[in-house]
Amino acid sequence: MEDTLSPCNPALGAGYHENNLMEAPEEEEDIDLMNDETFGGDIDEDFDWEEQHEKLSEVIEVGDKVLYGRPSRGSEYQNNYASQEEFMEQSIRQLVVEDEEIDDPAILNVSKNCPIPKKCQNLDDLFGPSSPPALLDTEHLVSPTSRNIWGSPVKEAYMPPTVNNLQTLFEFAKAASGTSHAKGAPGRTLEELEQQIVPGSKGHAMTAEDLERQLRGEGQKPPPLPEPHLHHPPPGFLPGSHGPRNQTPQRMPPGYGPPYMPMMEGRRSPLGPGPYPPRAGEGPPGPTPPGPIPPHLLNGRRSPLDSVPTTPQNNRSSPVLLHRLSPLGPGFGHTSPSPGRVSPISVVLRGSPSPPPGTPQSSILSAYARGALQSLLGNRMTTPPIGIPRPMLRGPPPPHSPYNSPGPRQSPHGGPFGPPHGSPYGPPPPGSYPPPHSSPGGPRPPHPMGHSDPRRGRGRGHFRGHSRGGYMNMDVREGYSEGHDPNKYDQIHHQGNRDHRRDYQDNRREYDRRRYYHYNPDEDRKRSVDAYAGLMTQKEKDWIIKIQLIQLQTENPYLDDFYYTTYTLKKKAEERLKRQQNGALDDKDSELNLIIPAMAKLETKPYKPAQFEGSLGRLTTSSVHNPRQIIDVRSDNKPHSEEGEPKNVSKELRRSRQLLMEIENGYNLLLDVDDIEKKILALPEEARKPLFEDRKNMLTDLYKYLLCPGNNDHFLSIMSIRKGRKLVARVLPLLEKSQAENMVQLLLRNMAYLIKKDQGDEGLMCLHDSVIRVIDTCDLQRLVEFATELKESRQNQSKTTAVAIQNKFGSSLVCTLLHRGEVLHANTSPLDMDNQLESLWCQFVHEFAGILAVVPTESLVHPKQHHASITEHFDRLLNKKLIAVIEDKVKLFTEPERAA
Amino acid sequence: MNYLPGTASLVEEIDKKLLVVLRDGRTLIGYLRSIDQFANLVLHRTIERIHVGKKYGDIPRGIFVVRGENVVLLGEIDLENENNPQLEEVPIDDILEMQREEQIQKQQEEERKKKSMLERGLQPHSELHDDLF
Repeated sequence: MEDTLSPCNPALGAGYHENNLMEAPEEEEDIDLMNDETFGGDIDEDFDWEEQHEKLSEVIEVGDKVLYGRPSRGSEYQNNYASQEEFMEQSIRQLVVEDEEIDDPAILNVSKNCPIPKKCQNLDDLFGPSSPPALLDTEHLVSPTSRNIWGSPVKEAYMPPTVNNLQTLFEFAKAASGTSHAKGAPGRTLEELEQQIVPGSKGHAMTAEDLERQLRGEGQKPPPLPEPHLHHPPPGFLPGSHGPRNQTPQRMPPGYGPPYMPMMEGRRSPLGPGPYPPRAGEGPPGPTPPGPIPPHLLNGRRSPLDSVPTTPQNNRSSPVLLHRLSPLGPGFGHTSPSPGRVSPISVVLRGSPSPPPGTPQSSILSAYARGALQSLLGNRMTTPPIGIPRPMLRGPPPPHSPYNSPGPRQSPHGGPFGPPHGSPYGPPPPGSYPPPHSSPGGPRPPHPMGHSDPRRGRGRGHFRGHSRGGYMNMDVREGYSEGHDPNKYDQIHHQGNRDHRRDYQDNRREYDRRRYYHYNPDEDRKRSVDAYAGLMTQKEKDWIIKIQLIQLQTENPYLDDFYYTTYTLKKKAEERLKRQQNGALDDKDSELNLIIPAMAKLETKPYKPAQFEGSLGRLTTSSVHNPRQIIDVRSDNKPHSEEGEPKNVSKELRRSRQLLMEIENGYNLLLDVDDIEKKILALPEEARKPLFEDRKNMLTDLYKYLLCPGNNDHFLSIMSIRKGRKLVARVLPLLEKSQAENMVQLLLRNMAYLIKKDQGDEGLMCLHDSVIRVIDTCDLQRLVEFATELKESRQNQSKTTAVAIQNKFGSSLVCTLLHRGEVLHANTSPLDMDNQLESLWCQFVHEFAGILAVVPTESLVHPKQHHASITEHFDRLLNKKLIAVIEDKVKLFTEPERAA
Repeated sequence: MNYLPGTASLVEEIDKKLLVVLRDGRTLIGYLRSIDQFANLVLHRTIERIHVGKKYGDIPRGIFVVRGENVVLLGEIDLENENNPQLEEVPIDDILEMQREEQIQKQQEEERKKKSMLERGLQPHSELHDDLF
């Protein structure tokens, strides 16, 4: 291996310098220094390639996936990224690369036209508008990006094997730098190399046709050789550059060859031949590394063309090549930096005109960014390869052709190098980092190559080899991909461009899409076709979802979505029950509560209808409540209604309607209270207080409305209607105790009247439960008050108590009163009892007993509930004589009704 | 973004190939590109598919903006089985011709029904096949 490479190196040295200048004028000068700084001399010497190899293989694998996985297998790609951040990193890098690619074509053209030396001056022109002053660009681009990626190159060399994107990048950078170094060493001319490698092809300049043929595998012999040079150079360089390095590479070979060879052969890709020939040609042993050669040079070597230019003969051919290849080559020509571009054509261009390698670049750099560059050197070296425009630019080139091989270039950029390098060469738009994935399929391929290299285990050499090897591999890959899916590149390319313009968010979107695709195997294919996917940004989607969720927000789920709410509650309750039965749930007490997150209250602006006061001809606004009047009926009715009878009837009607409406209002209030209660149930504890207030206020309103203080008739009229009685029955339990008691008191006061009206249909009974409940909880004072009401209402001779006990509701009430009296007496020690109340109560009981004695048994009505305790109470309060009189009748209250 | 449990959202269907049936009975197949809260849809690379019996024909329609209220039904196309349908594809002209025949047949059927109903003293209620707008 060494030998092969070494021969190439010398050739490269001469031709390359020139070529390199063309390609990457900026970098040349300080490369040596930088390399030393970055890698130190020791590295080369003490390099443990095995160790390195292990590290590399890990890194490379990761890198490969990242770079290459994307185009063909989205899933892998995704998996490789541990996190989104990583992904972003990658995407940004790729963006830079892409930009470079785009710019490259223009640059290439320019470069071709201009001699290398001029280039420096013309940099601005070359780069075009997109790239501000070349120097600025370089500084700009290199410094920010490169630092991150490349920071402390020396350390990198020793980095632990942990796989990490950054590390990968570093490694790549190193490799790139190393390669460049090595290349510089060889003093041989390309010619020599060629001769060695390809006996038959000596000194003959290849024409574009030849190249093409070779690429296609037709005329393999001559062309293939050059290519191998190009590719191989990396390995060769390494050895050549430093004694130790050279040795290492030689050792490496075992792992090295096998993987590539098969692929190349099968395809006949130009690369394929490369590997072999170099070996064969090894003859030129360890070309002494003259001086560090810029990475560009390295690139140049790879391409057969490059080699050609070095030799005078080649020069002639070069023009031809240029013309023909120009379309493809543009990227290479001027930007040579990218190793991937190694394409023969580009090399030629550079080679002939370019001055000695080191000078041009160095001069450029020195002026502005040298200082920065030095630190970043490693990066730069790598950069050039990155910057190289991919196959995309070439588009149509034959699959196997060197041009297609863009892969190599990509490899560098695809890896860590991409961003920094690109900056100087390709005028990548500084702002346009984001396009993450856009990276064309082509570029990534290089990475795979890189993998193989590391395996070879060259340590530094690895890297270099790696990068080179990467190129070769890339080429192969490209060949594959192109062969399989010619359109793919274009599509990808297209996408890439679009991506460029996208911003961060877009990247994310892309990412998501990828993911999506990941799930569907077909997606990848589809995706390449479906350039319109993701027209809706995540933001927009979120927005719609929010809108849809807002529609579901409710303050009162019972009201807004009663059926759903009830249904879910029911379902949950069933689940609960099941779990309880299974014993999984212990807390049987805990009730199901519907919890609604407290929602931001919607602004409730009270609706104010437009007021058009004083406006001529008032606007007629009609609504459900105030429909537009089509016919004015009133004027006709008035005269009629004034006549006698009909008027009375309508008056009656109106009154009853009025009453019904009032009761309806009462119900409305009641419903409001219900709503509030439901709301309260749905709210967490803390949020309930204000609603409790509301409820209390509403009940007070309701109470006032029913009681209508000072207007007994109102209450009676309500109570005269069944609906009204029901309302009272429903409201009673809700009221506060005092309010409820007041109401019961009112009820008792009017008991006689109500019972009179109630004859027949025991409509009062609907009140029974509510009233009984109130009585059962009242204290003695209230009890006495109730009793007094019954007594007092006797005013008009029709003793209320007597009437009451002849009515089921009434008798029930009285019965309950007595029972309550007994309970109170039984539970309170006589000492604690208020004497006055006690005596009043006794008085009532006595009266009751007296009435009971008078009323005929037949007219007595059984109460709904019976209380045996009444007998005891009588025993307690009445004399035995009286008790004996009413004993039978009392039984009515104490014992269940016997079936008559 | 989380949806409430039990809710479905068109957002999930974006950029997928959907079949949409409209209120007027047309069937569209295209990629859903955009939606809004009214289920207005933007379909891309749309074709209109006409089914007659076991045969169908596609008419390329391009981009379709569908007002949400016109969507009767919508579902994702199974891309895996898309290409082996049980139906037979025929050229557009053929399918249009077949469709017309089918419609004429239906009309005649309708006429006959109407007639026989009238003969039996029944008032034929004109069946609105769809809400005509």
